Amino acid sequence: MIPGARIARISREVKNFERKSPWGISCRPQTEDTYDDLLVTLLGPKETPYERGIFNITVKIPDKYPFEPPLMKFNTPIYHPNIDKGGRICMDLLKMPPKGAWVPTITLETLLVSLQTLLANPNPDDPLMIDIANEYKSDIQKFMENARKHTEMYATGR
Amino acid sequence: MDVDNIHDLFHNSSYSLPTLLDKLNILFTLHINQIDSFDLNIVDYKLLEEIKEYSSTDGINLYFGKTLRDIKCVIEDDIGRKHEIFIYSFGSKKLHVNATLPCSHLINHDYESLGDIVRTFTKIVSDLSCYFHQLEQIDQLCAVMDPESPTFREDYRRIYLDDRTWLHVEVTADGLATNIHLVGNTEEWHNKLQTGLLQWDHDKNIVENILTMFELPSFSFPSAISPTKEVDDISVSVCRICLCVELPGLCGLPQPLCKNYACGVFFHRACLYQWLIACAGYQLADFGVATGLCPNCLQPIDCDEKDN
Repeated sequence: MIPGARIARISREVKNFERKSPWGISCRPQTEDTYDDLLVTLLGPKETPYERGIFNITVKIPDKYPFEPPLMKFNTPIYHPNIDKGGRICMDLLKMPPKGAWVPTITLETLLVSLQTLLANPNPDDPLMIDIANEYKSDIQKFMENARKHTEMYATGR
Repeated sequence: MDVDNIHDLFHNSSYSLPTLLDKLNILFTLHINQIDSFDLNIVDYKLLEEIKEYSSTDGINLYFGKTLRDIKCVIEDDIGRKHEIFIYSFGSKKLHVNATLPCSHLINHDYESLGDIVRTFTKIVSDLSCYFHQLEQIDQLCAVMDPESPTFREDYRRIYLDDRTWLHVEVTADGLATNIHLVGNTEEWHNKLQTGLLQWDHDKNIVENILTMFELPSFSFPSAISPTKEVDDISVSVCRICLCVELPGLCGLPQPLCKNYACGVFFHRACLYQWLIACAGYQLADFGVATGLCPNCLQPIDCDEKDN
């Protein structure tokens, strides 16, 4: 094991976030100076049913990071084919190979931007929520409507 | 010597070393009673005597650092290179030495007297004359990628051949090249190295031998030596796994370990090895060589646990 790699890398990543963060993403450690748990706020992408939504996500940095992917979970309920009621996210990049596509050259920033992209482009062929995925495939208008209502109800900070 | 004189002694920087020592000597021996809270142990008279003796020797210069316990001894070698030996006195007959020289067994070692140190290191410096010469030539003519800021302490150099390939050379105390191999080797360089090693001429300089071996007119320098060439805001020379150049507790700089020409990112050997092992479910690698896919370009890659 390389003891220094985890802390060196994650502190650098969080500092990079403070310096310049991509649109709609903020990231800070839950407790200062430890980087075990990060709090991320993600704004719903524009021109999607998640627009105006503010989504809180916790990111757990495992002991073996970056040799294992971070664990991400939505704390704010979201209506999405690839995110279940418990906030678990089905995304390739969050899983170890050979099943998943995590590689240590992916940064936290790339992951969160990919997550934003997943909100804008659901992947109904690899669903966690089968009903929502079917709705997305059969009646996109109804899906949009439901997702928008859900966002308004749970994710607008009221 | 009264208070004014003492004040003068500590604030006047224009004394020559012998004068300063004389004055200190007077202060310590004659007026010690006037100083109440004075710890006699902090003055090592023998050492001061020795300093006096050696400060008038040719080719040797002595300087004090922040305290009288910190001494810098500069030894000049036959062609005027200045070698700095940093000496710290722990008390009588206990001198600790630090120097940018390769002989760690002589450096991590306590000495009894300044004379010991001067004799030992004057000899080393003259013995290592060929070693210094060869390393100096390499540092002047080649782009050295590792160590980051080379000194005579490191007996190896990693020389830039192209963006994907470095040549590792170690220099023996006699100034001969040893353990020559490629880092991030590609076939073309590898073949030249194999034939070139057979024709290595120990009567010639290391630099000349390398040029002959690879049929180069001169050494090339990386275009990225200006740190402006950046990929995704991450400068080329950081390890793309830990995002650092140097990691605490880990020796070695990031290297171009992927053999795919189109890839060209750097990894610490230990980081890449750890990743390949993690992908294999933490099973130990056969013969210490882990295999898998490059985390950047996803082409096959292998990684030796040890940096030989």
